[in-house]
Amino acid sequence: MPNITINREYLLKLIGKKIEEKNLEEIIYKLGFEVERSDLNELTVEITSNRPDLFSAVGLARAIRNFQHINKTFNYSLHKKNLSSALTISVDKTAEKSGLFISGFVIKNILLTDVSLADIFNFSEKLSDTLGRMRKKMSIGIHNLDVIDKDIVFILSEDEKFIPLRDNSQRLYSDVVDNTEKGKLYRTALPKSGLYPILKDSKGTLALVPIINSERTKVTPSTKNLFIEVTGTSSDLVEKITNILATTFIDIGGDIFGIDVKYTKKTKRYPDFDTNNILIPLLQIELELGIEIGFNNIISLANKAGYEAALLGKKIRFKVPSYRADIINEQDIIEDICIAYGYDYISPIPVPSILPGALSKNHELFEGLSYAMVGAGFTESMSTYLTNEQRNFLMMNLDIPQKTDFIKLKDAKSSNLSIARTWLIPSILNVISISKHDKMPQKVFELDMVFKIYDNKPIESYHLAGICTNSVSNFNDIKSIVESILSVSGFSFSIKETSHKSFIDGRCAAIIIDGIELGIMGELHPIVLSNFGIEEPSIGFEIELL
Amino acid sequence: MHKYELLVLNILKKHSSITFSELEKKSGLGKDELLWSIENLSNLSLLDLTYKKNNSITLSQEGMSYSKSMLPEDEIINTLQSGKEIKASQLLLDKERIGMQWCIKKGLIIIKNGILSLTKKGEEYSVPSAESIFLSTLHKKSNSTESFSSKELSYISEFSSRKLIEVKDKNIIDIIKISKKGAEAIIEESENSIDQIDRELIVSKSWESKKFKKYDVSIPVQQQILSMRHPLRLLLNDVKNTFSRLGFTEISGPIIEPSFWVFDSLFVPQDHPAREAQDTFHLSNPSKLPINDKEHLKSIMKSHTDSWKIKWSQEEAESAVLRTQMTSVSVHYIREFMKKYLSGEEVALPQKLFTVGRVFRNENLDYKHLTDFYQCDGIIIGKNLTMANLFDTLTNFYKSFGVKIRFKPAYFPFVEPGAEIFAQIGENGNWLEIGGSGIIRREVTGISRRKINVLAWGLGIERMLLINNDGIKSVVEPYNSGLSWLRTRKLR
Repeated sequence: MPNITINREYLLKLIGKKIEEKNLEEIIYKLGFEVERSDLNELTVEITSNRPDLFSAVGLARAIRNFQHINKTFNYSLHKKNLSSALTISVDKTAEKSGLFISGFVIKNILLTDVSLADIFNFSEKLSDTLGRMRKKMSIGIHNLDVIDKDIVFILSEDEKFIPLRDNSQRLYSDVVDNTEKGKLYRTALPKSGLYPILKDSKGTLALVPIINSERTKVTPSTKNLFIEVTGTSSDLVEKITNILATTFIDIGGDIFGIDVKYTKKTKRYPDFDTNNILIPLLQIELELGIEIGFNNIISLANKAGYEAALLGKKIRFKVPSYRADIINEQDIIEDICIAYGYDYISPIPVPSILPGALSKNHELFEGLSYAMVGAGFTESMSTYLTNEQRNFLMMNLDIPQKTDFIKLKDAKSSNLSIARTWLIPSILNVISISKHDKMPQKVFELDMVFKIYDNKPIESYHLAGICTNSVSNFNDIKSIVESILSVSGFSFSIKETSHKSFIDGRCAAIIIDGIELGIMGELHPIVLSNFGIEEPSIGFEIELL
Repeated sequence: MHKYELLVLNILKKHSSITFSELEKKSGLGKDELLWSIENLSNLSLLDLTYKKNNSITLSQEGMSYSKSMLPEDEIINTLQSGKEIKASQLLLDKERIGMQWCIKKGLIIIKNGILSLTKKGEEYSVPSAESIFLSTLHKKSNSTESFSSKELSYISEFSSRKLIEVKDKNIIDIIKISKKGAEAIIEESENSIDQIDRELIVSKSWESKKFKKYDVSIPVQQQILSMRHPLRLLLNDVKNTFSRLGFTEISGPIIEPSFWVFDSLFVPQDHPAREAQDTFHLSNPSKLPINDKEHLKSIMKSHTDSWKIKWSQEEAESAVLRTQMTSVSVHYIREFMKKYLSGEEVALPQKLFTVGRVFRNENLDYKHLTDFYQCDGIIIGKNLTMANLFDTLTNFYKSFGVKIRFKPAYFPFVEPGAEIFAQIGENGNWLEIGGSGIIRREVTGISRRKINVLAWGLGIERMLLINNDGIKSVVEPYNSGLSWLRTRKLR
């Protein structure tokens, strides 16, 4: 979940009313977010990924204002003076064919400060990193409107030169991609064709999308007029982000003007503030939340959640704000009403039970076996299911099977994890290997899952295994333990001599349950013990339960 | 009680007050054995001791060497008296030079032209001298200054000034008396009392005429090695039993799944970062797993395409992963339930189900992070189930563990409304997030929530262990500790 850091004074100014430190944190918590860190100047808030509209001080302030019924804001529209397009972007066939979309808008007469501009830049970075999936799906560019033409082209271009932002010399696109920090970070978002997505006007390149803008269109706090463009591979997301940004600039106090985007067959006007109305019966809201709201209160609750709402018979008409990218249907609005009502104010109501509860069928057997093992002097261990070939096979004096009949992990972050364990004994030997200074005898058991592949299907099964490490322990001791445990478990079993490289030859036996070889026991081979750094004789068994 | 101790007590029983040396004589014990017995009995408050101050004499290394032969001046006189000539320049050893100095000091010799010659006193001097003889007795004798004659005392002061001996003040045992407790103890410790009870004693009933010897309950003993259940397993059982008691039935399901059941069927969009290898364990063997429920596959594909507006790939849905949340088990049951419900089969409502098992995250294993850990998932399938019902169920569950909880709005793709569960650590303590919950979206169930809705939650178990068990400091401990840890865990 994204963390956003915002200037406290700026946030309070945007809210427009003094709010005590503690109250502010509590309001943010009630909205569903957490203040991770806070000091005199700044606070860092964790915002859930479904609310990109709140990744800025401006958006968060709007939500808090609505929640606190301070100067509520619901509707956004284009500047009345000029409804015609302020600028045109022509999407070249090359860009259109490779599935790229663009939208944007123009902001005029805005008063920026260092703080508000920093908030905007952080906002657009956060959006491109998270929803934009590190600019692969969507990216944002903010330009100085006064230095660009009204006709812009979005095109896939060959390698050419331009002066990138915060640079002082002409550089090739390829040079920027290969040799700058931003280039290296976002190069995977470039199309595979080897061409460069470029925004340009008659004076040259505006931006190498989605890597970096040009120095020419640089924005400073003194910039009064802005051109904001949003590009990406998802038209839905590009349009949603455009609205989120546009409403944010309107809140800061700019005049907003639309732009035209020309594709080969159609022209679209952005931003499009038309939004959905969703009708929900009041009764449905009350039934799902388990609370009584009433027609008198529902509109006020809707407003608190940021919705303009109206009664329509027994239904409520909610107008979805144009900055809400996450509203899919009525379920999302019901949650917002729930948050506005306050989770703390919902009185718990019991659900009747029609049946008595029950534990899984295995539970009784597993618990019985475990307590029998404890009775035999074994202490229970629990280990991670993930391990590596080294411990599971090689340290056990076994070869890694040619036919990979075990689960293999792909790209594990921990270098010592590569497979899911196929048996328990290595896990238990690991416990004993880190118990060198503990009293003898050391008896440890584990009853848990192991994994194999059989007939291309993953098999998840439960095993029981125990190890006893003691200066005097031999085959007969382990046989005695296994036979006693199996007897009380009600399994019919027999023992047959076998050989297994983890055990000493001639001191190892197979455990046969109901005619199937389901287990092994014996004296562990000195090679195995040495591999685990165990210096005392050890005996062990392992049985497949189900 | 040791036989020496018993012997001492028995003597004291007859002589209410006795000196150490008398006791030594009467007991026939060596001094060390007697001292050991007296010390033990006194520690048990069975004796009353009075002490007296005494000078004790210990020989220095130099004194020790003279005591074995004679004083160095004696050796020089002895040589001279035998008629041999000694030149002062021949006396090179420390001992010889010291001897010469003392011969001069005592007026036994004079030196003329570098040659030692006896004085009259020297000629009359008998070797070994009385001092030498006395010194050698100090070596053997026990040493109370009281018993020395005035002559001997003057020798002692000479030896002390020559640093041949050291005279120290010391508390020594004077009078020994039996205490009241000692008198009682001796009755119990009579020949007739029982030490180790055995079969013979019980069967023959011979214990009836005897006393049982007492054990000192304060004496430290070696600790028993315990075989213990694992604290995490005990908590898991607690969790299972609690849900069962609240009317829930345990269900289970696979760990290794196609992404479909872990993500797609839970309405997690295919480009959601949580699905990437960065967070989720993908498998190279098997790399793909089939989605057998074709009908469900189609409907999930449709709801994804409609809602998330991105291309939905079956290949991505088939990618094999280790489950990242237990809700994948719940969603199988929701699907099975819906098949029955939609086919018109009679189903009892509400259905309360829970599952406990391991989930996996591709983390760097360290002292804070686990790659596999436990989660407990629960669902209630029914009609008109509400957030109020959800809060009640979870509040009750945690109440039975003595944990106070609070709900906070939260976002999970498959529930709406969603709520995170926070538990308070101790009285007025911090709030720790311990789970997520909500009402399952209709995109997951495939039916209007006015007909059927499903409450769901997923609870972290290791964090509960930290809250519940003071002795456990980190979530990693239960999985990577040796026997000393496993054998000594507190039960709560």
